[in-house]
Amino acid sequence: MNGRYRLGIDIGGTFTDVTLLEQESGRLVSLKTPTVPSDPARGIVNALHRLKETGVTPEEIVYFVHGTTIGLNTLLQRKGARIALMVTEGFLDLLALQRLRLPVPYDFRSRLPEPLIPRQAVFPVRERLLHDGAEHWPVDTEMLDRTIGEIAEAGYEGVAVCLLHSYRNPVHERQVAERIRRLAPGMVVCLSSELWPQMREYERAVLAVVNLYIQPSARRYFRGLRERLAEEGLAVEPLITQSNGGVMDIGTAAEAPVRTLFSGPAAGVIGAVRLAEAAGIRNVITFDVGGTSADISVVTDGRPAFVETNQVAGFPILMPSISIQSVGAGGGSVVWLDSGGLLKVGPESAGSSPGPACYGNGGPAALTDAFLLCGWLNPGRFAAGSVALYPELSARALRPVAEALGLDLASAADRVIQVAVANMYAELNGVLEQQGIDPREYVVLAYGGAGPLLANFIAEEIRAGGVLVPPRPGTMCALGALNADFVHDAVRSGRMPLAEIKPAELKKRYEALAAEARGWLENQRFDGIEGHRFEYSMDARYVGQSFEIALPIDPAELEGEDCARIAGRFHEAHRLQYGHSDPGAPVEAVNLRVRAVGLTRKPPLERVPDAAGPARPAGEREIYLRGERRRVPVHVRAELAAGHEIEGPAVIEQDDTTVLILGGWRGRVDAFGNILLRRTGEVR
Amino acid sequence: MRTDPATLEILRSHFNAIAVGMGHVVERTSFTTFVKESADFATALATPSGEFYVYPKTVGVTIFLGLSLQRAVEEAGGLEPGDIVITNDPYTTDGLATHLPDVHVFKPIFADGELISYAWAFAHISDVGGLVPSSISPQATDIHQEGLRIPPVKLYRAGRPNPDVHRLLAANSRVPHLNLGDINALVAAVNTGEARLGAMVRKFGAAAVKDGMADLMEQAEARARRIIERIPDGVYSFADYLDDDMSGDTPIRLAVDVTVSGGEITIDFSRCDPQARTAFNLVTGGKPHSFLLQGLINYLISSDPHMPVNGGIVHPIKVVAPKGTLVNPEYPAAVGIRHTITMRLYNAVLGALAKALPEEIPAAGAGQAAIVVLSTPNEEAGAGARRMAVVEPMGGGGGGQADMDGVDGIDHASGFLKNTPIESLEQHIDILVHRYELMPDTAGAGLRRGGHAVRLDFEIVRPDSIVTARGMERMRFQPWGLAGGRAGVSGSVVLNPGRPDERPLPKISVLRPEVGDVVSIRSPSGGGWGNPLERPPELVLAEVESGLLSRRAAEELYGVVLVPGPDGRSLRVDEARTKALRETLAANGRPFIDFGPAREAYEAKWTPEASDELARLAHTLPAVHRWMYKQLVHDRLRDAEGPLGPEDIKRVWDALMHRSTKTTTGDVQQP
Repeated sequence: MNGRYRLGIDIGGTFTDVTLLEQESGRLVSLKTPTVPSDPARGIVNALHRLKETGVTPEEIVYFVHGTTIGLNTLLQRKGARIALMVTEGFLDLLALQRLRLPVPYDFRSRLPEPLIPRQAVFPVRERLLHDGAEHWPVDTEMLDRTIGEIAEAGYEGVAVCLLHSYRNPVHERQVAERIRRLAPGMVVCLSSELWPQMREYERAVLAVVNLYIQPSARRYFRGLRERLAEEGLAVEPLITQSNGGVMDIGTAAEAPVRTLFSGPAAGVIGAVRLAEAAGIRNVITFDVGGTSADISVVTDGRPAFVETNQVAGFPILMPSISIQSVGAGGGSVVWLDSGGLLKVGPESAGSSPGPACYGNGGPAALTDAFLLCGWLNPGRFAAGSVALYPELSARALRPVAEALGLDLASAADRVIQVAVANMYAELNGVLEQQGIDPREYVVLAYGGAGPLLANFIAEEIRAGGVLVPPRPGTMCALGALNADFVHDAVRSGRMPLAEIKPAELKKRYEALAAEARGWLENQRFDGIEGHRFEYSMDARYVGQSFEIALPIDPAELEGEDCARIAGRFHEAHRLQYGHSDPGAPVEAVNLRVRAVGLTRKPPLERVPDAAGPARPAGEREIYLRGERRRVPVHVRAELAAGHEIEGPAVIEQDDTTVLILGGWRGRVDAFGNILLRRTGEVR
Repeated sequence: MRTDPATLEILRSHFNAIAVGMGHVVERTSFTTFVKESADFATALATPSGEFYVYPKTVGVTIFLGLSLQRAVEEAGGLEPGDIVITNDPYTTDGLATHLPDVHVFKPIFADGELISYAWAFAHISDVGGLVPSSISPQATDIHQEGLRIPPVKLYRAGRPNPDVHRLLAANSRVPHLNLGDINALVAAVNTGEARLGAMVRKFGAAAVKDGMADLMEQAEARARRIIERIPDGVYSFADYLDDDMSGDTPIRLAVDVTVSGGEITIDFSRCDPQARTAFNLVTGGKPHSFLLQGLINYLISSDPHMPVNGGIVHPIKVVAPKGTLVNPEYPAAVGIRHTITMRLYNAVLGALAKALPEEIPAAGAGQAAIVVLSTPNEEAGAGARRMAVVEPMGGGGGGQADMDGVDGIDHASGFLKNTPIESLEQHIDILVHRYELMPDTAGAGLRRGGHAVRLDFEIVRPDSIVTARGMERMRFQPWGLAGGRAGVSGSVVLNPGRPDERPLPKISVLRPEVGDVVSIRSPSGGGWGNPLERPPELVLAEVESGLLSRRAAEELYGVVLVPGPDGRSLRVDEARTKALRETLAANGRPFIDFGPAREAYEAKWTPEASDELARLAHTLPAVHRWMYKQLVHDRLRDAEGPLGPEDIKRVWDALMHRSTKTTTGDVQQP
């Protein structure tokens, strides 16, 4: 790890973003090359060539991390492999019945998502285990062999296997895999009990199916990428970001591409955590506003919130991932009037193509057009001047809406923005209520192209303690990926009554999980892991409840004669979360979890020089803000230095975003170039 | 409108954030599975007149949206800041609560001393006493058998808890601590609602907030009216049946006359059967209660998915629901199974609309929300203690509609139900589930087929196990097909399927199977929409390939002939033979609405006119006697030849009346 550079690459729809980090100084260099949709790895190679021109040779790159959407896109576009699923006989429609509940029962057209595998590709296995893992009926091997023959003959690319209670005892799934290997060598198999042995058969089956469904395209892509990078002389094993905010080597990623599904936004949160930590801020609400959505997550005491199950395209993904709520409101969100004349923004998005009307590609009126008409954006330097904006096209597109509202253009645009802010607030408020958080103790960390424009409004709505705008809000995902640790989650399900189970038994199970996780870490083809940490936790509940509380476990609690201390902490956690507890009631653990963290060295963050005098605006501009037209100072971000203070209202322009400070707020630049906005007066 | 369209949208977002946030508070802080897993709760904000002006679409159950707090507010006496009212009683709230396990809590919200809103929340709590654990028994014959009635009383008075009420509640439940956990969650939710609305008033001003409420109600109303205006004026009548009342085999008939006139719609329930003697009654106070109108409300929202969801939607709807009918019963009728009525009214109201707008209305879905519950001895918890678990909620297939097939295994009318993972179920209670799967050849055939039925087979593994299944329906009368589509299948129960001791069982009330017995419950399926002979053959082929349709059914129902393809394994459509077969089959005309043989046979004897006449005559008696006389008339005519006409009914009725005035009590009057 003594080389000079770390390199992070993210492939977007239009551009491939390249971020180079100089390890010693923390200096970041970003560049963009056009994405090559037919061959994304080609775009990466192009980027390496450009870097070579600037004097950065592949040999100097000691850390290469890539956030990929290959798995996610394969799933969203439903272009995955043709695979089969084997389930316990009697449960053939596991994938169709799902958990029943319709997304919107009101709506006659509301449907559950179409399974990824048609019914004829689901095959029964005659076998049965009981809930404690005991064998009730052995596997009917004759029928199994016939089924395997059928699957092989039909030419499926792989088989996922999900048998009842296999999370408790994988013996039958392994038996099935064994027969497949023998009768259909070369057939790819994914066992639900190996991928993620947690209770809940539908969710576990979906996980195995999704993993297998996206695996061939992920594998192809990873193999191609590895070869190309080797040809270019890059000596390090490429790393891939995961939904849990960690990284893994590319070989691991090829085995379990399902772990990458939410990796993009997760890396952004890790970047935000790193940045906030340096700025001395422990509680953060991340607010990442891009073209189509606003992604929100909560970081408390330096730790992101995780969810046990995430959703994508209507499918539950039962694996820990950083909890991120996505709101259908971004710069490309389309402005429209509904049938009752109410002003709506989103959830339809103009995306990056055609983009908002102001891009000049025939797009509809969108939120970015409203920013432009309110004077918040400088049409000459949007996206570092790489995208020209046409205010007259914005005006033309928004005029019908303005006329319908009986407003002039600027007022209409102002209303559009306020409607979008209200949408985001409504969703964000739901997240805060779900997590039971007091926003006054949190700082909104704004990134993405439009985050820094809207964050101050959001902070006012939720009465957050402040707003933090990082120096380069466009590179948060890369910053996160370049600072990530290796993270592996492992789980075991089962019923463990705390009054009966001995701590020594729990310890044994944890250590088995830890050994598995340690093996995972040791197998990572990366020599920069400088230490590791194992985090134990359990999902526990009162006996009879069907929902759990995640309880961190200190290994010291696994010494001693009984689990009374753990139970005591459960009662306390229940009281804190739900407002009540029942210390007399029996408690049981249902999932034991170990998270292994392979620590990597964190390069320093780049610093900015100290200010020599007060901040001087580069100019002034008339903007329209909350019903008022006023001239405000316009600053250039690159000229701001540590200690500079800027009173709102003011605009700050930079290559990858624009920052808006509202009246009643003051921004102060810290040593890392972050701008921290605080109220100048009391909270209303 | 007092508010401009942009501000109104902003206010809508904020109101919605409050109501959704309250829902999350209930989710996060409640105690029981009913709330956490089944999401049997709701939250909303109401106007000072007691109507909901914002109601979340995605959190909690959806069917309370048109209800009113008005009567409950009156019953609670004067309210002051900090008061919180609790109630579960249908009869003193005009059906705000519709059965006793549904506990409602609301709090008045004041701004500068003026009442501006109420925060409301409800949850289905575990047990409020009564005949059976969890309080609902189909066979209850008056509400006092169903548990503790809580008229609207103050749980908090001026911000201070009222310990007397808490103690009274705790003493009347089998699981007081679970109840209390859930009630505390409701209290936390209304407190959150009050705090958030207070913040909104400070931000926007009380006047703007009040205008926003009124305007959102008006928006919803105007948009509902606009949809209703598109329905051709006229009177549309429809009737549907519940199989029975669980105490005999006489069907319950729900007949509606829907009159559309411009932007208004009137639903007349006068021809519905009299109130039942068992728990099949729905208290509405004769108001446009949303349990009467769920089908219509869903239609309106489906037609304008962006409509603000609030009580304004029901303003254009008038209801005629005479006292003493099942839809406006008199105290003390039992009400536990009221949801079954709601499910069938959903079909009846949409059936009437289908006559005006067949393209826009789905065929009937399974029409049941049966909750299959297993109870086993729980010796560890003490002698006599029992463990209970919902095995699975059983819905069934949805109805086909002009542009889509029906949903497999679930129906929009019960679309809020969530199933239990088998792995979780088997961990909670001693049971071995053999099968939980769709049933081939069950979908109502159609251009757009209905959804397939679902089958649940489970083995009893503990002695003294008890199975209940409240809400089972359509085991006799099938879900109807529409616009030429075929009826779906009816549901059934079989003991020990595939074994020598296999036998059919009647609808489950309380079943005590032996260890080793397998109970097999098969749901109804959805009716089809449109002529099955017009279904594209490739869709029929795909269904055969999926294993959900047999080749024989493909021929008989769809006229599609499939033959092995060149590889000898896959199938292909034989186009020539398909064309010929379809022409032959087309000669047999199909009814516009296909009710299926059971209903056709029943109505061949009990004609709609005869049933109408009996309902009319019954309504001339005091409410408590009506059901008995309806039953007596049916008993008298048990062996009569059909078809029966009104005059046959009148003759039997007069004879009964004559006898009763001569020989029995004096409280039955001659009409």
